[in-house]
Amino acid sequence: MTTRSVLPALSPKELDQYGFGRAQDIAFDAVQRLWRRRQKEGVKQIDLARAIDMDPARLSKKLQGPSNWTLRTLGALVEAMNGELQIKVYAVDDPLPRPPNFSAYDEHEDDGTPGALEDQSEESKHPRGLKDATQALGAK
Amino acid sequence: MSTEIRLQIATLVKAGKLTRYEPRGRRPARRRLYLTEVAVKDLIGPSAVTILVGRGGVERALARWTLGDRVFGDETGRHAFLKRLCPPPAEIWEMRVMETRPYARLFGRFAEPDTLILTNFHTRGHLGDKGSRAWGEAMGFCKATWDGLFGMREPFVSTTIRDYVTENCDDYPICPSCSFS
Repeated sequence: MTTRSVLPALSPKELDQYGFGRAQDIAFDAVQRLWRRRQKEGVKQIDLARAIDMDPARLSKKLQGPSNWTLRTLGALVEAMNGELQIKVYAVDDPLPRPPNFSAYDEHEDDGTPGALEDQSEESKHPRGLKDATQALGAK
Repeated sequence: MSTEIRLQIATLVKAGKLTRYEPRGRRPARRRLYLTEVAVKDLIGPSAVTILVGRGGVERALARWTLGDRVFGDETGRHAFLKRLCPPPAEIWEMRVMETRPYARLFGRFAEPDTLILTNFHTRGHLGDKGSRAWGEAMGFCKATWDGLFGMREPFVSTTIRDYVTENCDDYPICPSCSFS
């Protein structure tokens, strides 16, 4: 398994920015996965725009990247793509459903050299739960 | 992949010249990311990037990379998140932080597939227009830092993005008409 970073913990403001950003990124990636599938099936951007009455230029911008994504963007695009949304939030101390058999750093630094010291911050000693993605997306 | 470069990286990490970036959360890293001393300072601040862009916004990009999330191109098939910059110098890459304003650019080089060494961070505004002095200086600093750490060893070089990023990556041309944006 990976060790924690030596970098100092994020400040509350930075954590807020990070959590919000990650929620946008995760939402964007999830929608993009379905969008790529729909594109292969012949769906066009104009079809999506019509489905949710969104300006095609605005839709195009939304599909370029996760900036300015909100819960509204997520929900509308999922519906436009005939998808179903499911959100799960885990605690970082919950085990992964399948124990990972791969860590990029394990593979890379298998000579026993410590790659990073243990983070001694309170946060790493007491892992916090992930931000609620819903809250994060809505916290504009 | 070269055992030699891995040993060199491990030595630099041990010497404090490189810092391994660990993603937050439960999932182990799927890709490797090392920060030079300057990049760490740029990240944790105070720096122009931390003050104007915010560390949380930058770490979001670092998390995308290390967690193995999609390295995405845009709808027109161009780079969006990760771009190889037009030389000279050769093999300078930028990771784009474009979800917060002002934007930021994180400069670095590939040591091997899925292994990025980030050297310096700048706000997009600081860099100015294509071909500006600031762009040249930022790219030159990246190369000089690499040379200082790795000596004669050249960064990883290939012709397709899939060679640099082996999983979960859109297949876009890595230097389409040498355009800046």
